Amino acid sequence: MILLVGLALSADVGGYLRVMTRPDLEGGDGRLGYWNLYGRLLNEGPYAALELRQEILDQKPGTLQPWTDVHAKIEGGTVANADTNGGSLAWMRLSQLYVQAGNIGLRDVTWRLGTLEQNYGDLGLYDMKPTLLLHDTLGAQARYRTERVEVTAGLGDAGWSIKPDQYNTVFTGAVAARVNVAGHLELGVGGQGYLEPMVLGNRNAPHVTPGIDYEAWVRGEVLSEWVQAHPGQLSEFPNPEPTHANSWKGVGYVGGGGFGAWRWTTVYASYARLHPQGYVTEAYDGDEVELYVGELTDERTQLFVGSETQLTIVPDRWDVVIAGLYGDNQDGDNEIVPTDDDRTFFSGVVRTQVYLSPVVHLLLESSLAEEVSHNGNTYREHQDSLFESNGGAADADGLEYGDSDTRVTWQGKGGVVLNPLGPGIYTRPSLRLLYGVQYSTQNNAFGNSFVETLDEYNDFDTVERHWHNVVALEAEAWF
Amino acid sequence: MVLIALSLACLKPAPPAQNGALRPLAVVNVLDAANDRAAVDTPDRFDAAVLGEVSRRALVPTLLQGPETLAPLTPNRETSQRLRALAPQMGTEGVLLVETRPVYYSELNGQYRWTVGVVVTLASGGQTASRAFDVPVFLRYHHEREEAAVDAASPVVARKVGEVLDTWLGGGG
Repeated sequence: MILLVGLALSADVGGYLRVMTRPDLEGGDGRLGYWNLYGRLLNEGPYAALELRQEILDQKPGTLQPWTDVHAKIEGGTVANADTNGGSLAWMRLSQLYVQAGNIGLRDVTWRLGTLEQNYGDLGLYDMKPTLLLHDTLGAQARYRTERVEVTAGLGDAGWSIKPDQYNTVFTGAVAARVNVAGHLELGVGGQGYLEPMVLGNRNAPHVTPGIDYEAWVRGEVLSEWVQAHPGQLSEFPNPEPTHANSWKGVGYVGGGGFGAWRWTTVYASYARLHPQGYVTEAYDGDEVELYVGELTDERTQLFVGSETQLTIVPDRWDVVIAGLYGDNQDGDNEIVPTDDDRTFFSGVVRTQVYLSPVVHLLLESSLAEEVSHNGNTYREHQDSLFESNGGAADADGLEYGDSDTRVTWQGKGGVVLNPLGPGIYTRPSLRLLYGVQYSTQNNAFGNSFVETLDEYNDFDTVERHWHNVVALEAEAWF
Repeated sequence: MVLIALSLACLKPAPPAQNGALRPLAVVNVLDAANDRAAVDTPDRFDAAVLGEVSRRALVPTLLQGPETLAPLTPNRETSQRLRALAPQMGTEGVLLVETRPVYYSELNGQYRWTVGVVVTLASGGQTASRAFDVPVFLRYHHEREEAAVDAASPVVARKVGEVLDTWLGGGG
């Protein structure tokens, strides 16, 4: 913090904020739906980011003189009077801190040491970055950049990011390249690998506890089953065996446009094999045992494909952005529990903005999304669906939840936008007065404080509601 | 909601200060990239925004551009020396020199932030009025570079140019 104050006194300061009030007369927490799959608009909460850049040696154009600067970024998702955390600095984090230098040893190469990041851009309507690499890494990075070609290579340690409570060194390295062809086509490809080596004697290093059954683990019954099979022999429970762990992510990017009304299209793809978990603690009869579940979590993969196209229908009068995405998360170890690691989802969003004047705009947006669980029911379509968790019949010992494996969500949003800096769907700052409506097949598909139990002693009635409405007054700015 | 928007859209900005008869003013817009020594032309939309501000004030702008104008400005980025270098091309009218220096900052929450350093200088009759400021701009795509950054800074720069002109005209310039 002292560093940040010191830097702020003389630094070039940039940042981002969004703050809003969304009175919700239907008992919600102010967000139209659960998450950004339905478009970021009205589905995100408050956020603030401040980045400081202190130039120590400035760039001298046309020379090979070294230059260097320092960046520090603090950010977090809370603002006073806007959410439950009240803008507390405890919810802010120093998310980036690094030193950059150029013209040292190699021309057109920027060296970076500290927190790293490599990205091909984001899906603006979703606020998602499918091709993010190295964001979990503290280390060193080199970026060769010319007008047409960019190559980035970085390496470091991702242990604190991947396993913050069970730190162990996770070596990681990434390479990414991007080529621009004649200003109208961009191609990018990259990948990142992780290796967590075996360390004898380190409880946070990867191990395998032999013989754990997946279902027993998720039910918390590994120890009780052992004792049942081996009465009085809990102390003989198998010891963990050291091993290695690895994971990786590959990304691709195609961008093109710059012809007439077609401003630009981006297509992002990523495929990741997630890093295995470390250990979980299970208790039996007052004894606690660490179960190493790496072998039960090492077949999780995530496929993501997303695209966004920006169109200028009538210059300075009417813009349109169309976006879509598809995601497929697989967990090869899990055949029984519905989770976010084992589902398919897709979504489409269209936003149109009409400029009544350079400053006053009309915004309309609509989205449609479907999420499908691979392992059975996970959504409650009705307020009494606790009784219908398994083929229409109650199953008190079941691992499913609700009465459907599919959630379909439609949202419509519209309102007035004031953009002091003029036209542009992504021009900020924006002051917005918006109304949003959602229909979901899931009952009460938004953050809320409803009592969901069907217990006869429930003092509050359960509610059946598939439509949700919010009015929003909000501001968003990059600065 | 639509009625509110329409009524807001009908609000017109106040006209700027005028000062007497139409007068000529030479305008030179320069883009100084951080990785290239050569001074080059600014984008067309930037030029249009600056010229628009000049035209609104009973001034008749003449845009001086191209290698012939900018080549003498390349060897030195000091404003006073550039004004001296421009002197042979200028007539008796004043000159408005707008220098832009876009520098990449970082990727910030999904957009590419650039800082465009700007120096607006108006020289006329041996007097100069100058204003230096930075304009943060955010570009949506990675392939958008210096030209796009200067283009995005146009609304803010034009407004500041207007302020410099108003100060000059208000002082009897």
